[in-house]
Amino acid sequence: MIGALARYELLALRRSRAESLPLLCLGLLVLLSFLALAIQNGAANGERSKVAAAERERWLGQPAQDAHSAAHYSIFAFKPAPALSAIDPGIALVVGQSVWLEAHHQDDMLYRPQQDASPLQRMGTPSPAGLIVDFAPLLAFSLAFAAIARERERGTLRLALGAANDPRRIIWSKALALWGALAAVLLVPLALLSPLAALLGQTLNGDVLLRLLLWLAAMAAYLALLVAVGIAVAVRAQASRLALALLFGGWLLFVLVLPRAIGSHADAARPLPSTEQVKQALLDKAPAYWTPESSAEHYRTLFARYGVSRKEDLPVDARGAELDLAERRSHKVFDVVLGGLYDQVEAQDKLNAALSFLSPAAAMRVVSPVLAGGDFSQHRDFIDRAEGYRRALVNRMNGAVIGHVHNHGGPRATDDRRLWEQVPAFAYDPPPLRRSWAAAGPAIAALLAWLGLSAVLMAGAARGMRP
Amino acid sequence: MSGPSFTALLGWEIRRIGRSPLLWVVLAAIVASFVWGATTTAALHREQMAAQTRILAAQERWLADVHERADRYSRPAPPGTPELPTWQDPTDLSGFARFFLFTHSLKPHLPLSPLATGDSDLAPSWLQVKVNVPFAGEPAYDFENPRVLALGAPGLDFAIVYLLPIGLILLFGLLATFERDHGMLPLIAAQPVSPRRWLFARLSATFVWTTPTLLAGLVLALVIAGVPLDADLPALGTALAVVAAYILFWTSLAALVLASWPGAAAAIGTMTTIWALLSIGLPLVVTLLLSTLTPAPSRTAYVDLQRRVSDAVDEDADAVVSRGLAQDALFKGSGISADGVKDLARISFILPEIERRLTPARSAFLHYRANQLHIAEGVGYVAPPLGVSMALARLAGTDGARQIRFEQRTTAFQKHLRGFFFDIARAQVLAPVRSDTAISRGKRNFTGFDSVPHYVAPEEHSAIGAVWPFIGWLLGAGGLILFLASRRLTTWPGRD
Repeated sequence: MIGALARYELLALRRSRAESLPLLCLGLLVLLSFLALAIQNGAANGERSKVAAAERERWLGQPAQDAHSAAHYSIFAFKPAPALSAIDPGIALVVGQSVWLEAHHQDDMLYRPQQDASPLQRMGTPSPAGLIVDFAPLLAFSLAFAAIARERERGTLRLALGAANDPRRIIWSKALALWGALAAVLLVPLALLSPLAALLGQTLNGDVLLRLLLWLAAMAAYLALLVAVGIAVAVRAQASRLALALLFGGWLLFVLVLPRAIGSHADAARPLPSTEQVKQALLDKAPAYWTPESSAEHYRTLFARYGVSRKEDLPVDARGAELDLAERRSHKVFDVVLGGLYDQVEAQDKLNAALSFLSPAAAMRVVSPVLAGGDFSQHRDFIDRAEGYRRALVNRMNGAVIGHVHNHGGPRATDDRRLWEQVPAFAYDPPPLRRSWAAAGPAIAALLAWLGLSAVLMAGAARGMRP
Repeated sequence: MSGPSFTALLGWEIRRIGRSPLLWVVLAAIVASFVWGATTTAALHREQMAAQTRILAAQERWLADVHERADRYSRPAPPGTPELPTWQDPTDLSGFARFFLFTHSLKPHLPLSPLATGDSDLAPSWLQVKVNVPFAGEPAYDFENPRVLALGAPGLDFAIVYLLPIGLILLFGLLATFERDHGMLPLIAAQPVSPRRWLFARLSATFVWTTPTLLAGLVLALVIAGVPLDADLPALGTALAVVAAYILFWTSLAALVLASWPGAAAAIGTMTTIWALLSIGLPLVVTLLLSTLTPAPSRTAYVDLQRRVSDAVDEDADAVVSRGLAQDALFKGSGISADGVKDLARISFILPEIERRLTPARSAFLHYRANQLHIAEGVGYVAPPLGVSMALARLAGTDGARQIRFEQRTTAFQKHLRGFFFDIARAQVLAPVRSDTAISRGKRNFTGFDSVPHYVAPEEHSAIGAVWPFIGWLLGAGGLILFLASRRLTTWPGRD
C-alpha cells in the first residue's frame, strides 16, 4: 500500500514542473560540480605523479657531493587528492599541496589552490557535498510543504485521508517518495560516477568503496531527516504560511548560521597561536643556523658522549656529528611546536564535531569530509608521513657525513648515486577509514540522533494528523 | 480610477507593517547576524594586527642581538677558538644578508576592516623578506583552521551578501502575499485602487522600515566591533550606500516576482531560486567555464620549473657570473674573473639569472590572477552578491587588488634591499675588506646594521571611487526591474 502511494507521489512530483525543476537544477549543479572537481583532481594527480617522478630522478641524478648538501637539495613531496575528493574536497582547497623536505626545517605545505583565487572563484567552487548539505534542506522543505500544507489548503489532503485507512500510510508514503526523489537525483549519479572516477584515477580499492558507501548512507540519512522534519512541521503547523516561515527560518538557522557559529565558537574556545608566534618559537628553539655559543655546547655534548676532550680525537666526523645532533634536537622542537599546533587544530575540530549535535547540517559538515578523506586529521597524516620521510633522509645523509671522518681538516668527502639510491622514493597511501573515522564519531552520533528525532516527530505528527 | 492616493496608502501600510512582529523578528535576526559577523572579523583582524606588532618588536630584539654579537665577535679570538663560519658571523656581509637578516613587509588593516573579511582569512598580512631567494619568496600565509576557511568566514560581508537577502525574501514573501493567500485580493480589487499602487505601497512600506533599520544595524555592528566611525566617514557612507542599493535591488526583484500575484510559497520559492542562481549558480557556471577555457597555471609545474632552472643555472654558474661581470661597468677592466666572485657577490649575479628564466612562468601567474580579478569585477555586475562582496572588501581594504599591491610593494622592497647589499658585495670584490683574527674574530666587512633599509607601509585609504560605479549600476538595475514590475502590474489576478 505504502509503495503504491509512494509511486503515485513520485508521479505527481514528476508531473509538477514547479516542484521537479528546482530539484533537477540542484541535481545538475551537483553533477557539474562533481565533474569539474573530478577533472581537476585527475589532472592535478597526474601532474603531481609526473613531477614527483622527476624529483626522484633529480635526487638520484645529483652530482657527487657532500651528503649534507644533498640533504639540503632533497626533494619536494606532493599530496595526492583523495579518491573521493570530487564529492567532498574538504579542506583541500585551502591547505598547501606540496612541501619541500629540506634539511633543518619542517617547512609549511605550500601552494593552497584558493590562496590566489578571485572572489568569483571562491564563490564559484562549491562541492557536491556542500551543495547538498546547504540546498537539499530548502528543496526537501519546499517539497514537504507542497506535499502537505498546500494539499491541505486545497482540500486534496482531505480527500486522500477520506480514502485511506490510516493517515500514517499517507505520511510515510509521501516521505518515502520525497526521500526517493531527492536521493535519486542528488545521490545516485554520484554513486555511479565516483567509483568510475576512482577507477580512472587508479585509486579504486575496498577502502574507497567502503568510504563511498558510508558517505552515501550518511547523506541518505541526512536527506531522510530533512524530509521528516519538513513533513512534521508542515503537518503540525496551524497554517501553511506559518509552516513556510518555520521551515525557511529553520533552513537559515540550522544550515547557514549554526555550522559557522559552531565553527567560530570552537576556534574561539581553543584559539591557535598565530603563525608569527609559531615561527618565532621555531626560530628561538631550533634555529637552522646556530650560534658559536650553541656550537660550543654541541661539542661539549659530543665530547662527553665519546669520552674525548678535543674535536680531533672524536671517532666520528665532528661536523657530521654536530649536524646530526642539532637536527635530532630540532625534531623534538618541531614535534612540540608544530605538532602542538596541529594537535590544537584537531582539538578545535573535535570540539566542533562535539557541538555538531546542534545542527544536522553541522554534523554532516563533519561527517562528509572525514568519509571522503578530506578532513584535517587525514591531511595531517600526509604532513607527518612527509616529515618522517624528511627526517629519515636527512639522518641518512648526516650519517654518511659522520662516517667520513676528517677532523684534521682537508677537503670534505663526497658521496654519489650509491648513497642517494639508499633513500627510497617518497610514496604516500592515504590512511584507511578505520584509522580516521573516529574524528567523525560524535557527528555520526548527532546525525543518527537527528534522524531518530525527526522520525519520532514525523510519526507523532502523522498520528495527530487532521485533514 | 480615483481612490486613495499612493501617499495615503503608503502611510497606512507603514503604520500597519510597523506593527508586524514578523518584520521585527526578521530585522532583529539580520542585525544580530551583522553584529556576529563584524565582531568575528574584527577579532581576526585584531589578532593579525597584534602579530604585526609582535613582528616589529621581534625585529627590534633581533637588531639589538645583532649589535651585541657584532661587538662580541669584533674582539680578538682567544687561542683555540674555532673559526667563525660565515653563517655565524653577523659582521660578514654575506653571512648577515643570507643568514641573519630578519625583516618583514606588513599590511596593516584599514579602520573599516571589520566590514568585510574578504581575502584577509587566506592572504597573508605580513611577509618575511629575504635577500637570497627568487622574487619575494614563497607564498607564505597565516595558518588558520582550514575547516573554517573551507566553510567560508562568517564575517559581516557574509551576513550582508547572503543572509540579508534571505531575510528580505522571507519578509516580502510573507508580508506581500497575505491577502492573496487568504482570498482577500478580490475584495481589494473591488476598491478604487490600482494593483500597481496597492502592491507598491506595500513594498515601499516594507522598504521604508527595513532600510533605515538595517543601515542603523550595520553602524551598530561596526561600533560593537570597535570601529572608530569618524576614522573614515566617506568609506562608511559609501558602505551604507552599497547596502541601501543592495536592499533596493532585492526589493525590486521582490516586486517583479510579486507582480505575478503568487502565493507565499511560490513567491518565496521563486525569490530563493533567484537568490541561489545569483549567489551560487551563476558563479559556479562562470567559474567552470573559465577553468575550462583559461585554466590556471600549474603550481606543481612551477615547482618543477624552479628545480630545473636552479640546477641549470648551478651548472652554468661560472658562465653566468662571467656574463654579469662583463655587463657591469664597475668591473670593466678590473681583470676579475668568475672564480674570484664568491658568496653574496656571486649570488648577486646568479639570482637575477634564475629570476630571468622564471619570469615567464611567474608573469603567467600574476597575469592570471589580475585577469581573474577583472573578470570577477565584471561578473559582479551580473551577479550582485559577488559585486557587493567585492565592493565591501574594497571599502574594508581586504580586497584582492590591495593584496596584489602589497605583494608588489614587497617585491619592490626586496629589490631595494638586494640593491643595498649587492652593491656593497660587488664593491668589496674590487676592494676586499681584509680580516685579521688577531684583531677581530668576525670578518667586520659589514657593520652598517642600522642603515639596512626597512619596509615602510604606505598610508592607504579605502578605494571609494572604485565602488560608486557599482552602486550606480545596482541602483539603475533596481530601477529598471521596478519599472518592469510596474509594467506587469496592470491587472488584478483572476480567481484560482
